[in-house]
Amino acid sequence: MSDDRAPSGSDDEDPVPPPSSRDSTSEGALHGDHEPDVRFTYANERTFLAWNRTALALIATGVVATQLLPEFHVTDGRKILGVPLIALGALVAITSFRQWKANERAMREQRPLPSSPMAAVLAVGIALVSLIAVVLVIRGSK
Amino acid sequence: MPLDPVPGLDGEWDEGLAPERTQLAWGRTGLAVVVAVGALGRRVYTLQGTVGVAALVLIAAGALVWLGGMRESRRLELSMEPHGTTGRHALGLVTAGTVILGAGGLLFGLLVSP
Repeated sequence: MSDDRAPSGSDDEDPVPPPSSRDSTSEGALHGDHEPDVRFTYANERTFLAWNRTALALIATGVVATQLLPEFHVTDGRKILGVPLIALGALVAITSFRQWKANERAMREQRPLPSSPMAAVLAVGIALVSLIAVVLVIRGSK
Repeated sequence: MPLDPVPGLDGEWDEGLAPERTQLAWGRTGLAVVVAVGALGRRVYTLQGTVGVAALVLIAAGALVWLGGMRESRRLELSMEPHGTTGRHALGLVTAGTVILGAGGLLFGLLVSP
């Protein structure tokens, strides 16, 4: 990830101290002594929620694939297609939370945001499932 | 590029429409949970015995934990706590709820024949 996503502050210009209601010592605070601009915090949360929706969509699609698709000539074809989607959904959910935490911590420590494996994980996962789907479709359904 | 505080607001940051956009994102994600629970629950009535009970428990637990996260986030929003810092608990609950729903999905996918 490029440094231009660094969330706040510059070396020669201190940001204005945050209002007292945003005291970083409050309940559940992540470590770091710099309260980031709340707009970045909101953006980080929305990104997490977008990944969570993706995870839920993967889980729902996997369930639908195992339960509603016609039977394939390949034994357990529906499970071979649906179960990886569900597992990918769970993986995306966990990874997105870790990424949200890493981003939050980086913002508090005024570091550039860490790079995210999320897009690569999703792309590889979907490519694999697509490959499975192509094989199943070529073999035909009953 | 750093964002500057809004002039004239005495050090306050202008949140703009960020809270509203974030609330809408929560709403969209809540709808996605409803769809996922619907997909999971669609066939739960056909299940018998232990598998049926386990499926029901997983779906209900996943949905409830997820709603708990959403409620916690809303509580923090209303109580003016620092949203991002305390959001860790709320977003952790949301993640747990999604993973529990995924476990329910795996149970369906592996054990339940259509």
